[in-house]
Amino acid sequence: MSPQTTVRLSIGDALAIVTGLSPELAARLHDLMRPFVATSDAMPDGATDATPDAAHEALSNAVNIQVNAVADDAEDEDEDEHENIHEPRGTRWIVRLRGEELCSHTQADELLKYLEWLAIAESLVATQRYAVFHSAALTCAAATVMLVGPSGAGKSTLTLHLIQRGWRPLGDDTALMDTESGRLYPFPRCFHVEPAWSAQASAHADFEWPAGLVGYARPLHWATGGHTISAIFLIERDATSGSTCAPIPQAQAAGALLVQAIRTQLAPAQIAQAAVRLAAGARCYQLTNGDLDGALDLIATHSSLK
Amino acid sequence: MGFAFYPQARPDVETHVLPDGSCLLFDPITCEGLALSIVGALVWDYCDGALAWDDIVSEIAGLTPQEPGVREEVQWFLKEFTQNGLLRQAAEIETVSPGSPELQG
Amino acid sequence: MSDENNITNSWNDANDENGMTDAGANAGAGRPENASRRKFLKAALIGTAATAAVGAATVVGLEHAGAVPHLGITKLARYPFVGNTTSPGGSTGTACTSGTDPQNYVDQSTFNNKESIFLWALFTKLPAGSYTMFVSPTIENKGGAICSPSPASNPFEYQGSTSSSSNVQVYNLSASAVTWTCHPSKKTDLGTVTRNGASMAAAFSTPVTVAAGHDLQLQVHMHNGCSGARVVSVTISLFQSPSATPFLQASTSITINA
Repeated sequence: MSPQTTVRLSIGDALAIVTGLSPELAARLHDLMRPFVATSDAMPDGATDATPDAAHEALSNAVNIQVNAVADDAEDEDEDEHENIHEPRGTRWIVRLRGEELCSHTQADELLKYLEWLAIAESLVATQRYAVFHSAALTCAAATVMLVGPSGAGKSTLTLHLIQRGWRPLGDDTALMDTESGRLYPFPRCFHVEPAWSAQASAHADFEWPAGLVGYARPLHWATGGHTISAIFLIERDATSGSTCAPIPQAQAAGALLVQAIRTQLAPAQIAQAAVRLAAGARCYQLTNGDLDGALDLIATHSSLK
Repeated sequence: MGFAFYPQARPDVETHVLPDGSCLLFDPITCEGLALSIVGALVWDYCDGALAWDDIVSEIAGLTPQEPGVREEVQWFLKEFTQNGLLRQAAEIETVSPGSPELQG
Repeated sequence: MSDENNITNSWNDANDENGMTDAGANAGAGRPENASRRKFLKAALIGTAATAAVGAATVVGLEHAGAVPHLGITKLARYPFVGNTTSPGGSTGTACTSGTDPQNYVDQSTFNNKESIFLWALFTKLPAGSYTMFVSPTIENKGGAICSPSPASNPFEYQGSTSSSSNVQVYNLSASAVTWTCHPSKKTDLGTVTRNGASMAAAFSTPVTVAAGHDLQLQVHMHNGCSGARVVSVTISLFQSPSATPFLQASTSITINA
């Protein structure tokens, strides 16, 4: 039986502890979630640039995830599916959360993707200090922006290209707001990218591909510390026309953030206050994402308070 | 004898006025945010039980006499607030007419 | 930050006895010192009306330059707090509504009372597993919409009776078969139905098993069963058995005319 490991992840103000992985899988999970890796139970890895300034002195909200590897008796119909497995063939991994069985996986890549999602999802639900929004956020010398919108609106594409134009990301699909300071902090989760984009890997010097997982890319350079938002863009996709940008009432932007708020330990009223606080300090716009370059130019033009 | 409706906002509904004059209400019962334009924010502010419905309409419409659409808009907001359960139950007061028994002495 | 009337003034860090001050991290130029909220809103209304009248590009007294709509446009917009969970890598969820012509499903988000509605949800690039779905607010059986207290809590009911198997239809689709972002253009695009039932509970009496990278399409036939105009936000939650944390969620807003 291979030795078992423990991977500790500091996510928001919660601690996710993943036990039971083999050293090989633990190393891959470690690589996949490197910015979140904590060095001890009591004090997570505060040395990374991407973690919030405030130290996590004692994390009362811990998420315990257990993985058990058992023999899988099912016949393998496709031998190619085992290319990425570092465990003996015929292994099934059972994932438990707080002792309750959630699911099982027979593919190591699928297991890692599931653990990444589960650790983040459960940690965000457990967070007590941050308001969390489904939004992209980036910063440059003159501005910090949020890109808010439903899936498919083009937030990730805009984010990827803004990074290539020199912006530093705070997050691709998750924006973390400290409810005490009102500032956004980095949430350095891997970006989930289309295979076609990944295929042009050599053209993307700003990214790394952790854990060998297709579709997972991580920017090499992240924003550090807390940032005050200067502009919020509500993104909607319209492939039939060019890109446009129009001002909207701040209350509308706050409402859109409320819809995109992710469940945490904060009460809904507190989350509404957080959304209002973000919108109150920002220029707010509706951005119709028609052509990519047009949208990028509009974001650059309208993002600064000056 | 007649009655007047004095709109009064539910005290549990949270009101967030933003720097551009728009306003986000948050209803803790439905967990829903409602974004109001400046007119809506002002109508909501006037829903403090001090003025009757018609007086609220007249006061706000009187601010922008050059904009005839404001009167209708105020009426619209008051109806929306009522239909969506954002106001307290109507605070009714009696209006006393000159010939009423109360004034006969 | 709230005063005794449960009012916050978002640009302030502290409130004076009138509930408004000019201090704070978000303070900016153009805001009246120690003005009451009503004074501020009156000035904002008069200012934007003046802007509309003369077509000026900036508005005195407001934080941000530009035409902030005050009349007509976006008078009242609703934003429900759904309590989303973060999405797994690559998987997406989208919800929408359309008309019910099987030859031509046209996007539609405003309906008349009792008008037939198709509610759609598409969850893409799912990990292998077994899934169930829930719709909020609950869709009631035909004739069973819950219309009081106002606003109605469960205004939608299934179009067909409790013996109809076409109220809810679920399709397990390969990614290559899906060329749309929320719903197909016609019924024949969907192919063979995977699951169907008179209700969500019936269709998902047991979880649907999905192969890695596949999509799940939900189609619900319903209508509004309560009188009066309303705007309802509908959320479809996808659960990967047996997790109690939603794996994906998608929402759409439906407007019902009076």
